[in-house]
Amino acid sequence: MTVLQDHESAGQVDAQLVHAHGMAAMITLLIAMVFGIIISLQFFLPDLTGSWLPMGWGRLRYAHTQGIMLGWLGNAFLAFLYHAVPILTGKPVTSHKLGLWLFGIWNFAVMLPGWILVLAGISQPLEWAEFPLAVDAVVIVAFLMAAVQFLPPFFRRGLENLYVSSWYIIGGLIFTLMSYPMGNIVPEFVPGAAGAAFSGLWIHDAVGLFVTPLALAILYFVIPASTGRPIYSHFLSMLGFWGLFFLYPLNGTHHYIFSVIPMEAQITAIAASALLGVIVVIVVSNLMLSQRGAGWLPRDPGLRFASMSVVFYLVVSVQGAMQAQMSLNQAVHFTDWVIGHSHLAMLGFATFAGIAGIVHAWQRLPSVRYNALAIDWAYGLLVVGITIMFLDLTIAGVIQGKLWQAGAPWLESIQASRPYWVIRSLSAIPIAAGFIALLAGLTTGPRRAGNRTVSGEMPQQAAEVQPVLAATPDKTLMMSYVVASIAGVAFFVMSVSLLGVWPKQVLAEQSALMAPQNPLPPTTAEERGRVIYAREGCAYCHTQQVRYTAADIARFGAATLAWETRFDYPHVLGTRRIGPDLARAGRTRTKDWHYLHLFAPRAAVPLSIMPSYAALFDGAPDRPLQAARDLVAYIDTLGTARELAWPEADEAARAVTLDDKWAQMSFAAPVLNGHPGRTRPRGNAPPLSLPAAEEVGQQLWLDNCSGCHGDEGRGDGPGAQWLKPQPTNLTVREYSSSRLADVLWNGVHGSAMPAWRDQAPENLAALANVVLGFSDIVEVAPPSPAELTLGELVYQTHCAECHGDGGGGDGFAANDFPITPSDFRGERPSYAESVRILKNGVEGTSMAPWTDRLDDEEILAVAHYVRQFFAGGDNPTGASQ
Amino acid sequence: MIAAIIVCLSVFFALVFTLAYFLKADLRDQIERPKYAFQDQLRRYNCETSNANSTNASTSDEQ
Repeated sequence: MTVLQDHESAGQVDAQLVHAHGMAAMITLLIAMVFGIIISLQFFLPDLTGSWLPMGWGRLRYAHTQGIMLGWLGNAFLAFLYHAVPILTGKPVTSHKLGLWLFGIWNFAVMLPGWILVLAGISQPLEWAEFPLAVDAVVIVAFLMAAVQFLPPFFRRGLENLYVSSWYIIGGLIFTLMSYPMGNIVPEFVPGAAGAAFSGLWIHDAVGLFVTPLALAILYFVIPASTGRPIYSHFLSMLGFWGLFFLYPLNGTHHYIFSVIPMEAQITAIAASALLGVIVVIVVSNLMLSQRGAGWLPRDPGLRFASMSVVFYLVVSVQGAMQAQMSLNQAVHFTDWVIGHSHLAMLGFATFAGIAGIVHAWQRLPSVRYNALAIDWAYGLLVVGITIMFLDLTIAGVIQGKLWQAGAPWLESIQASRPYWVIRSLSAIPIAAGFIALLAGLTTGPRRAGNRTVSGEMPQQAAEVQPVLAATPDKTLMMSYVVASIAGVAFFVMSVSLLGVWPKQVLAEQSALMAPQNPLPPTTAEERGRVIYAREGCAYCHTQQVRYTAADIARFGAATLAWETRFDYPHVLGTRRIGPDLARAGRTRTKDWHYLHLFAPRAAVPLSIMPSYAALFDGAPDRPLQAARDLVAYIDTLGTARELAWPEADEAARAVTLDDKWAQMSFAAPVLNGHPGRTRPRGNAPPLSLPAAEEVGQQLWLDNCSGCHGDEGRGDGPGAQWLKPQPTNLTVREYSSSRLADVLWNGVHGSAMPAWRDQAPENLAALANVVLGFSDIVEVAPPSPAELTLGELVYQTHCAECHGDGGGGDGFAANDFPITPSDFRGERPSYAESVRILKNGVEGTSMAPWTDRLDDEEILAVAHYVRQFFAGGDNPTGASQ
Repeated sequence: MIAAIIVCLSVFFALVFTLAYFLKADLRDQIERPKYAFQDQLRRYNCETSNANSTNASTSDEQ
């Protein structure tokens, strides 16, 4: 006896395919979960997988989300459809053979190659669309096959008798077929912010038109099937169905609130999000009322999962409607709040619905094992784990948002997040245990144990069935459904037009109006670097969009204009900031620093959690492979097009867009590049309020400076040897407080020493205090007048043209050098250090060794001479220059 | 402007649907019918499953 024959005798359900997709769902779920756990651990163990790129954070992140959406949920939904469609329609699905092909394609031509390609570095940097184009084409074919497999039985039955689950199945399959190409293919051909508009539509449609309809189809199926009573109101369910299909597609742009995408499109998405919240309350009320009498913790496992899914759906939907509103969005967007939200949607609502569908079908499958105890454990563990994860990430998001709004240093938000990231990873323990218990529940235990569990429900079901089936279908109702179907498609087309096509036109016009003439396109190397940036998932930690908010403009500089992204195919605007925004990162750091940071992130930034990209190097930061050179070349382009054209291009654009208040907001930014670490010319540093708190300073030093300067300020930190010039040995120097203020406020242009403008003045004072404390100069006997006279002669002859007559580093040639010569009025090297520098020079600067031009006596004399410029702490150099 | 149109359209459609539901009793029956029909289909499926399982069980017992 074949399995298929089993189904034909039991409602034509294809048990073989239910079983196959159920098991594939579990396997892909466990794999995707492992990816997720690894990336969650990398938040506080960033070297967990070394620098092996296939296990790098970005690639795993791509594999994780695609695995959950297509692997787990896709298979779970297909398993459910094979169970539900024959029951809903009374007819078998189109073809068992087609089902076998669909199973093979879904798992072996989509999931398997998709994961392999993504981990091998062939992917798209588009959220929920990370599999590459070749796989996308196969996904579309698979969806077409699914439509052919599952839709004909519904249409043979007639629209007027369709139960709400049927509507959701039909809607989900048709609308996913329409929206998938839009989100996965269009952004490859529409650049920058315009591409992001389409991408945003898909981010929401993936949830709203694929996941949600099929999850709700399960809930509307499992709840009445388990309680034995009809749902509370089919009217409310249909109101919810049409509301969701009309409004979900219009939500997409709420992923880019305060971006350069036209505000009208953003407001449309915000309004639709709020309305959607109302619709969801209707849907959830109906689903909850449909469970009346089942208790808070229903006995039936499928119903229990469905019931919890409804609760998660309510919370995540109300949260979604709230966070689309501008005031909340401003505070929590890009934070872990959103990650908590998406986990609640996919791992809470959709996963619980998926499990409900599988468990429900499993209980009714002939000849499968079923372990009720393990399923019970799975439920408890998953509820606990997902609730902890959601609450933890939500709180983390609020904290991150608060710190960003307050302008705190970026690393403070990283530090503050660490405990929450640890808890998030710990929450994976019950979640993983829950999924393993679920697998055990579906693969262990006696055969047909599920059948025995459900056999007691049937008499109850008969009680509420009303004899209305024979009634003549109302033509008005049928027509209204036809009209609504057409309207649903029209709303989808409207959403694409309003939130995709129209913004594309507006952004193209804006670009034409505001862009400087003849901007240089990226070079081949920069393009290659961009591909590496995309494939490694950099955009999933670093946004490339300065938003039109005060906090963003203060931290990063002028808000991003459309034309700045017009060479981005596909866009990398990003929707999450674990690291800072990079839209204005160009020319902010030296190449040495970038190479060191990519090779050994914590050597450059001790608190960094960035994964190492040592695989892009030949064993050391000073031996970058072409890939690392390309990547740094690309990063150095970010924001530079506008900078090169500034201020003329901005002024011209400002004059022709006086009626565009958002564009004016970008032009009115106090500085074009507000990156706190960017080096600036000397001067204008606020004075330090010394003395400062010592303990605070020590911690700041270790957190921010020790990577280069070493724990004790000797210039021997783990990253020091890779930087040119090497970090200063602070033990052999004295500084005036004003000079320290200047270096901390402005950085040292041309070196790896950044500005520290995101630090509070009291923190800068505390750091200066630490630096002053490092000085350990052994004084030598004072020079004789003859030595000083010789030193002055040598200095004026050879040194003054760079260092200036008065030693202020302001000689007439000083501006020609990438690194400004030392200002001896604000800093004094020890005598031995002066001699060393004169003899050896300073690698990476214009200071050459002088042994071939000066004899020993002259070197010793000028070493004495330069030291006498120093005026100590009272010298106002720096602050006044 | 666009947002206002969408809000108005959504509310309008919802109101029309709701009014029609409450004012037309036959329409109300038509709209609610599928939920009962679904129960009937479930009942039939469960009966068939139950019969099939008993047959399968007795077959496997005999084997």
